Formats: sequence, C-alpha cells, structure tokens
Amino acid sequence: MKKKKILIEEQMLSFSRRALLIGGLQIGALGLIVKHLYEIQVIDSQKYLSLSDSNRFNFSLIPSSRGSIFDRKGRILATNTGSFDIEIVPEWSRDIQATLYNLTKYISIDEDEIKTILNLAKKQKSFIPITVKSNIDRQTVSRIAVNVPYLPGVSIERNERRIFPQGSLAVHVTGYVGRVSKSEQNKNSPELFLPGFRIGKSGIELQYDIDMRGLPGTKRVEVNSLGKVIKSSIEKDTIKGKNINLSLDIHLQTFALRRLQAGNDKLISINETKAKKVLDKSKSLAWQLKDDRNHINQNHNGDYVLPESGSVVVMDINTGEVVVSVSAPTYDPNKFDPGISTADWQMLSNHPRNPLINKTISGQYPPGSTFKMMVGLAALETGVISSKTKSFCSGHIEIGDMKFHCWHKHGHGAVDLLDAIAQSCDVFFYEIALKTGINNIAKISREFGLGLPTGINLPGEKSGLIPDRKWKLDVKKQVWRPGETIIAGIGQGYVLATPIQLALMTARIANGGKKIKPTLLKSPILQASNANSVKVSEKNLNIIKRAMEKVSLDEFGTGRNFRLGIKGVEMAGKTGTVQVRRISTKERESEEGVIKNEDRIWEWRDHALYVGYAPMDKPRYAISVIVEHGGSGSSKAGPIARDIMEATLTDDPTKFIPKNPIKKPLI
Amino acid sequence: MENLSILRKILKFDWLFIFMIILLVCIGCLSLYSAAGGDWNPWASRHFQRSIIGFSLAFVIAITDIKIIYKYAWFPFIISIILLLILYITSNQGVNRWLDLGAIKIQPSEIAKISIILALARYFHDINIRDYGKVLYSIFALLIAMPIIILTVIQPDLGTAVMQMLIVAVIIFLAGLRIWLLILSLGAFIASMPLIWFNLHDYQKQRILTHLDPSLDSLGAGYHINQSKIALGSGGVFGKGFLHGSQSHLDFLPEKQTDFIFTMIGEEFGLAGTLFVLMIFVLIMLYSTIISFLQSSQFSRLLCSGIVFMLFSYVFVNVGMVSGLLPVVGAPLPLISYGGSSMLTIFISFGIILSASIHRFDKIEIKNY
Repeated sequence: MKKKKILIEEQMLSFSRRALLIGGLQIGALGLIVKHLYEIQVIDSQKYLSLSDSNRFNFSLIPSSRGSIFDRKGRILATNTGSFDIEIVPEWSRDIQATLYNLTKYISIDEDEIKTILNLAKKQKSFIPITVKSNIDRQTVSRIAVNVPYLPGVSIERNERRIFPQGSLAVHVTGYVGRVSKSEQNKNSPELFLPGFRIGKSGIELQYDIDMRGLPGTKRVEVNSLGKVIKSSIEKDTIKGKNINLSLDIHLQTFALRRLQAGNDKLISINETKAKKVLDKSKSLAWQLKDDRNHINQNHNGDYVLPESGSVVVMDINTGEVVVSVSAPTYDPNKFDPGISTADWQMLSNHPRNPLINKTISGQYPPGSTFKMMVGLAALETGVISSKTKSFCSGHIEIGDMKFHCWHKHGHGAVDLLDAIAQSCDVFFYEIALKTGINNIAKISREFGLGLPTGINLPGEKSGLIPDRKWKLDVKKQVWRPGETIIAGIGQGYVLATPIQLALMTARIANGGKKIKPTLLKSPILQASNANSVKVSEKNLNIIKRAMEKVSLDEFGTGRNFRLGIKGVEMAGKTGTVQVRRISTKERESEEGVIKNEDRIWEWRDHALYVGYAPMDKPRYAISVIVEHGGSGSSKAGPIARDIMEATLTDDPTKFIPKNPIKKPLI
Repeated sequence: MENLSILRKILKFDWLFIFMIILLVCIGCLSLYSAAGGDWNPWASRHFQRSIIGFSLAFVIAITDIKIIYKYAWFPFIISIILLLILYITSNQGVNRWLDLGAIKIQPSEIAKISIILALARYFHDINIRDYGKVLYSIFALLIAMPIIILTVIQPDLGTAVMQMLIVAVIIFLAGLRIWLLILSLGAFIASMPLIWFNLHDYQKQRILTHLDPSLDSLGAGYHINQSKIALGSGGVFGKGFLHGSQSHLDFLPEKQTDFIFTMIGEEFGLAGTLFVLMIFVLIMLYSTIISFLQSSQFSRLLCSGIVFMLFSYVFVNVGMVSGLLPVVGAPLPLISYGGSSMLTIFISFGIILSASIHRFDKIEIKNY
C-alpha cells in the first residue's frame, strides 16, 4: 500500500514537471505568434496599408468628349455618337479563348479577330480591357447583357464613336480618327491607353487633335477582390474638347466636288439599267466609278469612265478663309473607326488616283500658263518690258539651237503682255522670261506665295517648287541653263505648285498684293487690311489684273467661252494646260501632228488648270481648279471654275454681289 | 462530498472561467456580424444559437460526476470511429469532411479530438501504476489512437490529423513516457518526413510550398496568405474600426467567417484586438492548467491537460496560419470562427474542465494494482 502511495506521488511529480514543460513550450510558441503579429501589424504596417489601399481603389479615367467640327454655317462635319462596345478584361476572364468562342453565339467574331485579341492579351497588362467589337446594336447588347454572368471578364461599355455625317464630302479637310498606335502612346497622356480612345490621324482632326481631345476626368472606383465595382465617385470632371468651326461651306464644297467629278461628261444615274450593267461587270471599277455618288460618268464617245479627279480651292481674298477645298477622289472617313477592313484599305491605297492624298495641299503640279502672271509681273518689275512692249509670235521661237513651240501652231502674231496673257501666247513668255532671268521670276513668285508652304492649318502641306540658280546648284549640283528659264516662263520644267498656292497667288493678285494667309478656320477678320503688301508696284499689278480680266472679256481670250452667268458680274482669271510628257519633234512634224489629248492614255493627258477671281471689279473670291489629266484649261477646268464661282457668289447674293454692278469698259 | 446537489455544484462553478467563455462567444458574434457586412444574418445569429446549445451541453457535462464521464470515456471514441467510417464509406472521390446527419452537418474529425483525449486518459488511468511510461504501453496508446488518425488522413484532412497526432503525443508524454523513447520517436518522425511528403496530395504540397514563399503564386494558394497578411498589417496597432475592414468587406479575405476570422479582427481592431483575443485564450488555458494540477486522479489530470493542449493547438495553428507562420491547413479559432463541429468539441471540453474542477476531490478508483 505504501509503495503504491509513493508511486502515485512520484507520478504526480513527473506529471507536474512534464505539464510545466509542455506549458512552457506553449508559452514559447504563443510568444512567437505575438512577435510575428507585432512585425506584421506594427513594423510593416505602412507597407500593408498601402497594399490594402491599392487592393481597394482603382483610379480610372473618364475619357473626355471629343470636340465637334462644324462648317462655317454651323453644319456638323464631325461629331460623336454613343456606341455600345463589347470589352474583355483578360485578368478577370479565366480562359479568354473559351469566353470569346462563347461570345460568338451573340456576335460574329472571326478567327483573325480572336487571334488579334489573344495576341493583345498576351502583350499588354492583363487589367487593360480589350475591345472585342464596337458599335453593337441594342438588341445584341441586351442579349449579351443577360448572359454576362456566364462570360467572365466581358463587359458592355458605352463609348463614344466618331461619326462624319457628311461622309466623304470633306474628308481631306476634316481628316479621320483612329485607334492610338503603339508609337503614339505617351505616358503623360494616360487617356491614350483607353481602349475606346481615338485620336486624329489626318486633316483638322490631326491638326487640332490636342485641343479637340479635351482633358480626361478621373473616377475613384472601389473594387472587391473580383474586380467588381462596389462604389465609384468622380474625382475630377472631364473637360470637353474644343469645337472647331471651319471656314468651309459644306454646300459649296459638295457642289464643287460633284462639279469637278462630272467634268464634261454625261452623268448616268446608277439606278438606270445600263449603269447597273456596267457596275455589275467589274467590282473594282464599280467601286472606283461609284465612289460615294449616285452617278457614273459617260464621256462624249459613250464610254463609261472614272469621275474626274483633281482639286478645287475657293478662298476669300480678304480673310484668307478657304470656303471650298476639294480633293478628288474622296473616301469615307467613317470607315476608319473602329478600323478599316483590309479589303477597303487595299482599294484605297492602290487606287490609281490616290484618294488618300489631299491634293489641295499635297498635290504638286506644274502651274503651266497660270504661272504667266508671275513671269509677266517679274518682267514689268525688272523693267525689261512695259505694258506696251510687243513681240511677234510665229508659232515657235528658236533660241540657240533649240526650238520652242507655242500652243498655237500658227502663232498669235504681234502681241503685248495683255494679249499674251489673254490668249496665253507662249512665245511672248519665252522671250520675256529669258530677258527677266529665273532669279527675278522666282523672287516675285515667292512674294505671291509660291515655292513655300502657305502655312495653312492642315498637316502634310507640300511647298511646291520655284527653282532658281542657287537651287539648281544646291540640289541638282548643276549650273542653271537658259533653256530652263524659257520653259519656266510658261510654268513648266521644274516649277511646281499646289492648288492652295495657286489660289493664294490669285487671291494676292486680286486683293491688291496683300499677303494674306489661307486658313481653314472660320475667321471673319479682314486679314487684307493688316497684312504686309507684296514688293510690287501697284501699277504693274493692275496691268496683270487687267490682263486676267481680258482672258474672259477679250474676243480672243481663252476664257471667253465660260463667263459667269450672273448679270453684270465677271470673273478674271487664267487658264492653264500642262503637258505631262515631252512631245518629240518627230511626233510634232508627222502628218497626223501631235496626238490628240483624248487619244492618249489617261496618265499622259494634259492637266487642265484654271485660276481666277470674281467679281472682277470688286474681288471677293479667288479660285483654283486642277483637273488631273483633264485636257485643256479652257475647255475643262474653266467651265468647272465658272460654275463653282457662280454658286459661290449666288449662295449669298446680297453680301457678295454689288447691288449696282458697274460695267467696266472692255480693254 | 460524495454526492453534491446540483445547486451546490452550480455554486461551485468557476465563474471567471465561464465569463471568459462568454466573452469569446460575444467576440465571435460581433466578428461574424461584421463579416456579414453589418448583419446578424447569416452567421452571427446562428453562432449565438449554437453557443446557447453549447452552453447547455457544457452545463450538463459540468454537473455530471467525473466518475460517470470516466465510465463512459470510451463511448465517444467508438462513436467517432463509427462516424469516420461512415464518412469514409459514403464519400466519393475528393475531399469530404462533413457528415450529413439530416438536420445537422458535423465534422467527425473535430469531435474525434476530444474523443481521443477521453479514451487515452481512461487508458492511462486503467493501466497498472507500475507500468506508467513503459514503452509497450506507450506504443499501445498510439495504436488506440491510430484508427482515428488514419481515417482523418485519408479524408484527407492533414491539418486535423497532425493536430490529433500532437495531442496523442502530448498525452503519452504527460503520462510518463520515457525520455529516450521520446527522442527515438522524434527521430522516427523526422525520418518519415519524405515518406509523408510523397503521400501528400498535390494541393497539400502546394500549400506547404507556397507557405514557404507566398509570392510564388500570388493568385493561387499563396493569395490567401498574402491577402490575410495585408489585412492584418493594414490594421496596424488599433485597426480600421469595427465594420471598416476594407480587405474583409471587399472579399479580398477568403473564408473570413471561418478560418480567417482572426484576420478580420486584426484588420478592424489592430494589434490591440489580436492580443486581447490571444490573452483570453491564454487565460483560459492557464486556468485549465491550474485545474489540471488540482486533480487527484490520473484520468482527470490527463483529461484536463489534454484539453488545454487541444485548445492551444487550435489557437496556435489558426493564428499561425492566418499570419503566414504556418501552412494553410484549415483550423478554426475556437468559439469565434463560425462552425458547429469545433464549437461542439470546445463546449464539451469546457464542460469536462468545469466538471473536473467541481469534482476535483472525487477519487476515481484505480484498478489492477
């Protein structure tokens, strides 16, 4: 019994020792826990606090509304419209591919698009949404909205889409918008990373892009662990982009474009059976023929031909406002957002008549006879001739061992400067150009805006080319030769000008030599009253003006057949026909003579040009027309210019046409 | 002293102990109220109902004579094995820890913990006092516990099984296991580690690996640990305030009503809150340890100290897990986490502690001498 009691006591003691040991271990373990909690909750607390906040809040940008573009009378050329887009956030979509295939039940997504989206998902950060499809109709939106729980990561966003209600009419001025490309992304403008964001890619949209974008707002969004938005509050409001009011008159623009495209051809409605037949025959021809018009062209031989291409510029000579700026052919800017199809892009970029180029500022053409005003003025200024100096035109002139031809095979006889301009005598200008010298011609030309960018507010303007001795030596590494001066005398050879430059030149002649600048923004400020004057005597300039008047009024004037149809209002101007290929001596002397313009292939035909201003006695508008490979200036470009000028003047008759027009005596 | 009336027993209750239990239940209810985003439903109200049931059960156990508990000590053990077997038989592939008994769902492996303690306490009480600490008897004790541990491992619920194993080890040790054997068994345990590793499920391996480096897989298994640490850490010293734990309320915290409730307390009440909860547990364990020292029989002594260690293992594993000190194994925080089975186990345990305290002078007869 006693032994047992000892045993029990021993056992008790052993238990107590062991229990204390276990207890000690437990205390130690809990101490470890407390130390660990202290580290997390006190020492590293700040770190975890910021992690917690970044878990919790997302700052998201609210894109600003892009400014609209209006024409001078407030008609909308470009604006925004609501668009429902399907977006997918890779981070919240467990299997993007599967989700996309699920989406195909509701919208059509082809394999290529899926590939593109998957590639994008790999490349960019997984929380950046990717646009799957833009501009979804309401019915599809509601069908997808119902099924969004089964489409992880998919969301329907209401974005703004750019629309150009006027379609292709003013595309070269307004330009178009498109997605932000990688190279255009900029860390300082985070809105550029938004999937629906569009930026200007050409024209006014590019020129005033920053102003038109406005400033994005920010939204503070509290999200849960699934990225679901719990609460959102606006931190900063968006600032709407600036609206742009253009100087363009879209009605005149439309008229000018259609008139240019029509040329001298007969227009056949595409609803007529014969037109339908033609359009059915060739799809690519149909695309090019139809453009965005409801007519196709039939020339005087009965052949169906492409509409005329080229450029028309109408400019206010006092304000510099460009009222019409046509470049044909055109294209529909609406096709570029959300993205142009490969087929359409191929068509556009391979189109033989370059619809993508804005020919008014980027098309460089030899000015031809429209350059004669500059040559004549330079001759008057340098004193090599007076307005009375006469010269004899026999149809050609031999200088050195070279023979230069006048367009009039039999010659103009004895002509002075006014006749030479009115009848466009080449021989007269060969002679005076040689006497005046290329450097003097160049100096005067630049005064009138040729050879350098006009500074119009559009991107991509070309400067044209006014050659002189220095240019030849610097660029061509050759000495200037007199023969080149002779050719330059009739605006060929190296001389190049853009339609906007030709319009500006004409405007500066018309406004008495005021160095206005062309602008596409509506600005009723009379530039002409403050602008510097060209360094030309007023007397000489008036001689040139009188010569241009004579083009229309003289019985032999090249413009006598297309005078304005408004009573008492006349247009002064100058035609131009530009050779684009060299006529060989053999061809000239052959029995058939020079091959007729219409019989050549299109690319070898002459350019038809016209520059002018009206009303003659109280000038208001200057115009330049170029019909690419259109034939002669007097038969093709002139009538087009006449109709457009007529439309321009009658558009607001009380303002532009003098109530009691004074009939000027014929010179 | 032989037969105390029920009233006298109630008067002998350890009221401080009961007060601390009530405190834990209240903390639990408030935390669950917050976890539901400021709503008594669905968890807090149920938690409260369950704790009322639990208290009733604990009360019944507390006034039950310790001799009766001794008498039926094998009974819960056998029930646990049967439940675990049913679970094993009825379970399909995959993880299945809950047994659906129609009205209630229980987790047999939780109930098994207290069953093992009861069974082993009785076993060590019943062997001859001269045989205490003998190798053969220690190994036999291990064999008794084995069916439950094995059935828990194959559920699979490794976390609970390890906890059960530790409880068994501690009881054997307290019962007087020779030191050399302890060293030997520790060696065997370390040697068996690779074997255990290869028999682990992939997700179990993953848990252990991501525990070692949570950033390995920030949106997978390590995600829970990372988010839990962010929640705890962002709470700082005094927390973000009741109902203002952004991590918890924005669902960044997984299982915030069960295993990760401690994290939520840490986020809303900071280090002050976590230390306060830990302090209550330490006080309960301290109190229970004192009661165990006062026991006059081997059975009740081992029973009380086994329960203390079980309570410790719950708290240590849970807090260690949510703070990133231990792998994510799935252990509730007693009386605070939402869940019936662990609450049942804990209330039974506290009932036993109270009973042992009331009947501490009752001697249970020693057989076989």
